[in-house]
Amino acid sequence: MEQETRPDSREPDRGKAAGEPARSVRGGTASGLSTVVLSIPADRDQVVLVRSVAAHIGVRLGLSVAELTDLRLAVDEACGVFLLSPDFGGVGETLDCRFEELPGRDGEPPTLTVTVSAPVGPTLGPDVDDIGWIMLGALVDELSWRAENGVGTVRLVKRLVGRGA
Amino acid sequence: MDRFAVSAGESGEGRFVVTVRGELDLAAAEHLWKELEPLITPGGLVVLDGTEMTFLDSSGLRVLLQAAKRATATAATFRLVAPQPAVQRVLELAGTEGFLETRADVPSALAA
Repeated sequence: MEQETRPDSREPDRGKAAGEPARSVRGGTASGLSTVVLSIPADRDQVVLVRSVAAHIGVRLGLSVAELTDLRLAVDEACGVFLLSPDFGGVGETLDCRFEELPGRDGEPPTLTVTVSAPVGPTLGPDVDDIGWIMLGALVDELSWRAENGVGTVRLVKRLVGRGA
Repeated sequence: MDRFAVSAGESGEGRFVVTVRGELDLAAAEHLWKELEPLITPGGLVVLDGTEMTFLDSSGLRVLLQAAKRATATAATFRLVAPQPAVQRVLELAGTEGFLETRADVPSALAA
Protein backbone atom coordinates (compact mmCIF):
# COMPACT_ATOMS: atom_id res chain seq x y z
CA MET A 1 0.00 0.00 0.00
CA GLU A 2 1.55 3.37 -1.01
CA GLN A 3 0.52 6.76 0.15
CA GLU A 4 1.52 9.96 -1.61
CA THR A 5 0.38 13.51 -1.06
CA ARG A 6 -0.56 15.43 -4.13
CA PRO A 7 -1.89 18.96 -4.43
CA ASP A 8 -4.96 17.75 -6.32
CA SER A 9 -7.07 14.61 -6.35
CA ARG A 10 -7.04 12.26 -9.31
CA GLU A 11 -9.42 9.69 -10.74
CA PRO A 12 -8.26 6.13 -9.99
CA ASP A 13 -6.48 4.25 -12.80
CA ARG A 14 -8.85 2.03 -14.71
CA GLY A 15 -6.29 0.73 -17.16
CA LYS A 16 -5.24 -2.35 -15.20
CA ALA A 17 -4.72 -5.67 -16.96
CA ALA A 18 -6.98 -8.54 -15.95
CA GLY A 19 -5.55 -10.56 -13.09
CA GLU A 20 -3.13 -7.83 -12.07
CA PRO A 21 -3.48 -7.21 -8.35
CA ALA A 22 -4.86 -3.71 -8.03
CA ARG A 23 -4.30 -2.80 -4.43
CA SER A 24 -3.32 0.81 -4.09
CA VAL A 25 -4.13 3.68 -1.84
CA ARG A 26 -3.43 7.22 -2.86
CA GLY A 27 -4.09 10.34 -0.88
CA GLY A 28 -4.31 13.94 -1.85
CA THR A 29 -5.07 17.24 -0.27
CA ALA A 30 -6.91 20.10 -1.83
CA SER A 31 -7.84 23.28 0.04
CA GLY A 32 -6.89 21.64 3.36
CA LEU A 33 -9.40 18.81 2.91
CA SER A 34 -8.40 15.33 1.83
CA THR A 35 -9.15 12.61 -0.64
CA VAL A 36 -8.14 9.00 -0.29
CA VAL A 37 -8.59 6.60 -3.18
CA LEU A 38 -8.48 2.85 -2.74
CA SER A 39 -8.80 0.25 -5.48
CA ILE A 40 -9.36 -3.35 -4.51
CA PRO A 41 -9.83 -6.46 -6.62
CA ALA A 42 -13.57 -7.13 -6.85
CA ASP A 43 -13.39 -9.95 -4.34
CA ARG A 44 -15.33 -10.38 -1.11
CA ASP A 45 -12.15 -11.15 0.82
CA GLN A 46 -10.83 -7.68 0.04
CA VAL A 47 -13.73 -5.69 1.44
CA VAL A 48 -12.07 -5.76 4.85
CA LEU A 49 -9.48 -3.35 3.44
CA VAL A 50 -12.18 -0.82 2.61
CA ARG A 51 -13.68 -1.14 6.07
CA SER A 52 -10.25 -0.62 7.57
CA VAL A 53 -9.52 2.51 5.55
CA ALA A 54 -12.96 3.89 6.35
CA ALA A 55 -12.39 3.30 10.05
CA HIS A 56 -9.05 5.08 10.07
CA ILE A 57 -10.40 8.01 8.09
CA GLY A 58 -13.33 8.21 10.47
CA VAL A 59 -11.02 8.31 13.47
CA ARG A 60 -9.05 11.13 11.87
CA LEU A 61 -12.29 13.04 11.27
CA GLY A 62 -13.22 12.64 14.91
CA LEU A 63 -16.26 10.44 14.40
CA SER A 64 -17.81 8.93 17.51
CA VAL A 65 -17.61 5.19 18.13
CA ALA A 66 -21.19 4.82 16.95
CA GLU A 67 -20.49 6.82 13.79
CA LEU A 68 -17.40 4.73 13.09
CA THR A 69 -19.43 1.56 13.46
CA ASP A 70 -22.01 2.89 11.02
CA LEU A 71 -19.40 4.06 8.52
CA ARG A 72 -17.60 0.71 8.46
CA LEU A 73 -20.87 -1.07 7.85
CA ALA A 74 -21.98 1.43 5.24
CA VAL A 75 -18.87 1.06 3.07
CA ASP A 76 -19.13 -2.71 3.45
CA GLU A 77 -22.72 -2.69 2.23
CA ALA A 78 -21.80 -0.35 -0.60
CA CYS A 79 -19.22 -2.86 -1.81
CA GLY A 80 -21.82 -5.56 -1.40
CA VAL A 81 -24.11 -3.85 -3.91
CA PHE A 82 -21.62 -4.97 -6.54
CA LEU A 83 -20.10 -8.11 -5.09
CA LEU A 84 -23.36 -9.75 -4.08
CA SER A 85 -25.08 -9.13 -7.38
CA PRO A 86 -25.37 -12.15 -9.68
CA ASP A 87 -25.09 -9.66 -12.54
CA PHE A 88 -21.66 -8.48 -11.52
CA GLY A 89 -18.75 -9.55 -13.73
CA GLY A 90 -16.13 -9.78 -11.02
CA VAL A 91 -13.04 -11.43 -12.43
CA GLY A 92 -10.34 -8.93 -13.23
CA GLU A 93 -12.48 -6.04 -12.12
CA THR A 94 -11.74 -3.59 -9.37
CA LEU A 95 -13.90 -1.69 -6.97
CA ASP A 96 -12.76 1.92 -6.80
CA CYS A 97 -13.45 3.55 -3.49
CA ARG A 98 -13.04 7.22 -2.94
CA PHE A 99 -13.18 8.93 0.43
CA GLU A 100 -13.52 12.67 0.05
CA GLU A 101 -13.79 15.36 2.68
CA LEU A 102 -15.80 18.11 1.13
CA PRO A 103 -16.68 21.54 2.47
CA GLY A 104 -20.33 22.18 3.16
CA ARG A 105 -22.34 24.37 0.82
CA ASP A 106 -23.87 27.62 2.16
CA GLY A 107 -23.32 27.14 5.84
CA GLU A 108 -23.85 23.39 5.72
CA PRO A 109 -21.35 21.28 7.66
CA PRO A 110 -18.48 19.58 5.80
CA THR A 111 -19.11 16.05 4.65
CA LEU A 112 -17.32 12.80 4.15
CA THR A 113 -18.41 11.57 0.75
CA VAL A 114 -17.63 7.98 -0.10
CA THR A 115 -18.13 6.55 -3.55
CA VAL A 116 -17.72 2.93 -4.60
CA SER A 117 -17.58 2.41 -8.35
CA ALA A 118 -17.15 -0.49 -10.72
CA PRO A 119 -17.93 -1.40 -14.32
CA VAL A 120 -21.48 -2.70 -14.53
CA GLY A 121 -23.79 -4.09 -17.16
CA PRO A 122 -27.22 -2.55 -17.74
CA THR A 123 -29.00 -4.90 -15.33
CA LEU A 124 -26.93 -4.26 -12.23
CA GLY A 125 -28.29 -1.97 -9.60
CA PRO A 126 -29.29 -1.97 -5.96
CA ASP A 127 -32.38 -3.90 -4.94
CA VAL A 128 -34.26 -1.30 -2.97
CA ASP A 129 -36.09 -4.02 -1.02
CA ASP A 130 -32.85 -5.68 -0.01
CA ILE A 131 -32.05 -5.47 3.67
CA GLY A 132 -28.50 -4.36 2.88
CA TRP A 133 -29.68 -1.36 0.86
CA ILE A 134 -32.34 -0.47 3.41
CA MET A 135 -29.81 -0.56 6.24
CA LEU A 136 -27.40 1.47 4.15
CA GLY A 137 -29.98 4.24 3.84
CA ALA A 138 -30.29 4.38 7.61
CA LEU A 139 -26.53 4.54 8.15
CA VAL A 140 -25.73 7.65 6.12
CA ASP A 141 -27.21 11.08 5.48
CA GLU A 142 -27.46 10.67 1.73
CA LEU A 143 -27.42 7.56 -0.40
CA SER A 144 -27.60 7.35 -4.16
CA TRP A 145 -26.92 5.03 -7.09
CA ARG A 146 -25.88 6.14 -10.52
CA ALA A 147 -24.99 4.09 -13.59
CA GLU A 148 -23.37 6.04 -16.39
CA ASN A 149 -21.25 4.91 -19.33
CA GLY A 150 -21.00 1.39 -18.02
CA VAL A 151 -19.86 2.42 -14.55
CA GLY A 152 -22.07 2.08 -11.50
CA THR A 153 -21.48 4.22 -8.44
CA VAL A 154 -22.85 4.00 -4.93
CA ARG A 155 -22.47 7.35 -3.24
CA LEU A 156 -22.66 7.84 0.52
CA VAL A 157 -22.60 11.18 2.29
CA LYS A 158 -21.96 11.59 5.99
CA ARG A 159 -22.37 15.05 7.41
CA LEU A 160 -19.56 15.99 9.77
CA VAL A 161 -21.63 17.94 12.24
CA GLY A 162 -19.92 20.11 14.80
CA ARG A 163 -16.52 20.02 13.16
CA GLY A 164 -14.60 22.93 11.70
CA ALA A 165 -14.06 22.96 7.93
CA MET B 1 -4.37 -13.83 12.57
CA ASP B 2 -7.75 -15.03 11.35
CA ARG B 3 -10.36 -12.43 10.60
CA PHE B 4 -13.07 -14.98 11.08
CA ALA B 5 -13.20 -18.32 12.86
CA VAL B 6 -15.96 -20.83 13.47
CA SER B 7 -15.84 -23.81 15.77
CA ALA B 8 -18.57 -26.08 17.04
CA GLY B 9 -18.93 -28.14 20.16
CA GLU B 10 -21.60 -30.56 21.20
CA SER B 11 -23.28 -29.91 24.51
CA GLY B 12 -25.52 -32.92 24.82
CA GLU B 13 -27.36 -34.81 22.15
CA GLY B 14 -28.48 -32.57 19.31
CA ARG B 15 -27.30 -29.51 21.27
CA PHE B 16 -24.50 -27.49 19.73
CA VAL B 17 -22.66 -24.33 20.56
CA VAL B 18 -21.18 -22.75 17.47
CA THR B 19 -18.57 -20.17 18.37
CA VAL B 20 -18.00 -17.35 15.93
CA ARG B 21 -15.03 -15.02 16.36
CA GLY B 22 -14.24 -11.96 14.33
CA GLU B 23 -16.05 -10.44 11.37
CA LEU B 24 -19.08 -12.19 9.91
CA ASP B 25 -19.17 -10.39 6.57
CA LEU B 26 -19.89 -11.20 2.93
CA ALA B 27 -16.59 -13.11 2.74
CA ALA B 28 -17.32 -15.31 5.74
CA ALA B 29 -21.07 -15.79 5.55
CA GLU B 30 -21.13 -18.76 3.20
CA HIS B 31 -18.50 -20.59 5.25
CA LEU B 32 -20.56 -20.11 8.41
CA TRP B 33 -23.69 -21.47 6.77
CA LYS B 34 -21.83 -24.58 5.63
CA GLU B 35 -20.75 -25.22 9.23
CA LEU B 36 -24.07 -24.26 10.77
CA GLU B 37 -26.61 -25.91 8.52
CA PRO B 38 -25.85 -29.57 9.32
CA LEU B 39 -26.10 -28.90 13.04
CA ILE B 40 -29.72 -27.73 12.91
CA THR B 41 -31.51 -31.01 13.51
CA PRO B 42 -35.13 -31.79 14.40
CA GLY B 43 -35.81 -31.10 18.05
CA GLY B 44 -32.24 -29.95 18.58
CA LEU B 45 -30.72 -26.73 19.86
CA VAL B 46 -28.03 -24.64 18.24
CA VAL B 47 -26.56 -21.70 20.09
CA LEU B 48 -24.42 -19.30 18.11
CA ASP B 49 -21.92 -17.85 20.53
CA GLY B 50 -21.02 -14.49 19.03
CA THR B 51 -19.48 -13.09 22.20
CA GLU B 52 -16.36 -12.40 20.16
CA MET B 53 -18.13 -11.56 16.94
CA THR B 54 -17.03 -8.03 16.17
CA PHE B 55 -18.80 -7.29 12.89
CA LEU B 56 -21.97 -8.35 11.11
CA ASP B 57 -23.23 -7.17 7.75
CA SER B 58 -26.34 -8.02 5.73
CA SER B 59 -24.71 -11.18 4.36
CA GLY B 60 -23.95 -12.44 7.84
CA LEU B 61 -27.39 -11.43 8.99
CA ARG B 62 -28.94 -13.41 6.16
CA VAL B 63 -27.20 -16.55 7.40
CA LEU B 64 -28.47 -15.96 10.93
CA LEU B 65 -32.00 -15.49 9.66
CA GLN B 66 -31.65 -18.56 7.45
CA ALA B 67 -30.61 -20.56 10.49
CA ALA B 68 -33.60 -19.31 12.46
CA LYS B 69 -35.93 -20.16 9.60
CA ARG B 70 -34.42 -23.63 9.18
CA ALA B 71 -34.76 -24.24 12.90
CA THR B 72 -38.43 -23.30 12.84
CA ALA B 73 -39.01 -25.59 9.87
CA THR B 74 -37.38 -28.54 11.62
CA ALA B 75 -38.81 -27.95 15.10
CA ALA B 76 -35.35 -27.05 16.33
CA THR B 77 -34.19 -24.03 18.29
CA PHE B 78 -31.62 -21.50 17.17
CA ARG B 79 -30.42 -18.88 19.63
CA LEU B 80 -27.97 -16.05 19.15
CA VAL B 81 -25.62 -14.59 21.74
CA ALA B 82 -24.09 -11.46 20.23
CA PRO B 83 -23.51 -8.68 22.70
CA GLN B 84 -21.03 -6.50 20.80
CA PRO B 85 -22.35 -3.03 19.90
CA ALA B 86 -21.56 -3.27 16.19
CA VAL B 87 -23.64 -6.43 15.95
CA GLN B 88 -26.44 -5.13 18.16
CA ARG B 89 -26.62 -2.12 15.86
CA VAL B 90 -27.29 -4.32 12.84
CA LEU B 91 -29.94 -6.39 14.61
CA GLU B 92 -31.62 -3.18 15.70
CA LEU B 93 -31.46 -1.57 12.25
CA ALA B 94 -32.77 -4.67 10.54
CA GLY B 95 -35.53 -5.14 13.09
CA THR B 96 -34.85 -8.79 13.76
CA GLU B 97 -36.75 -8.99 17.03
CA GLY B 98 -39.36 -11.66 16.52
CA PHE B 99 -37.29 -13.37 13.84
CA LEU B 100 -34.16 -14.13 15.83
CA GLU B 101 -34.05 -15.50 19.34
CA THR B 102 -31.30 -13.81 21.29
CA ARG B 103 -29.93 -14.33 24.76
CA ALA B 104 -27.47 -12.35 26.85
CA ASP B 105 -25.02 -15.20 27.31
CA VAL B 106 -24.38 -18.82 26.41
CA PRO B 107 -25.62 -20.39 29.67
CA SER B 108 -28.97 -18.61 29.25
CA ALA B 109 -29.09 -19.70 25.63
CA LEU B 110 -28.51 -23.32 26.61
CA ALA B 111 -31.15 -23.24 29.33
CA ALA B 112 -34.54 -24.70 28.48
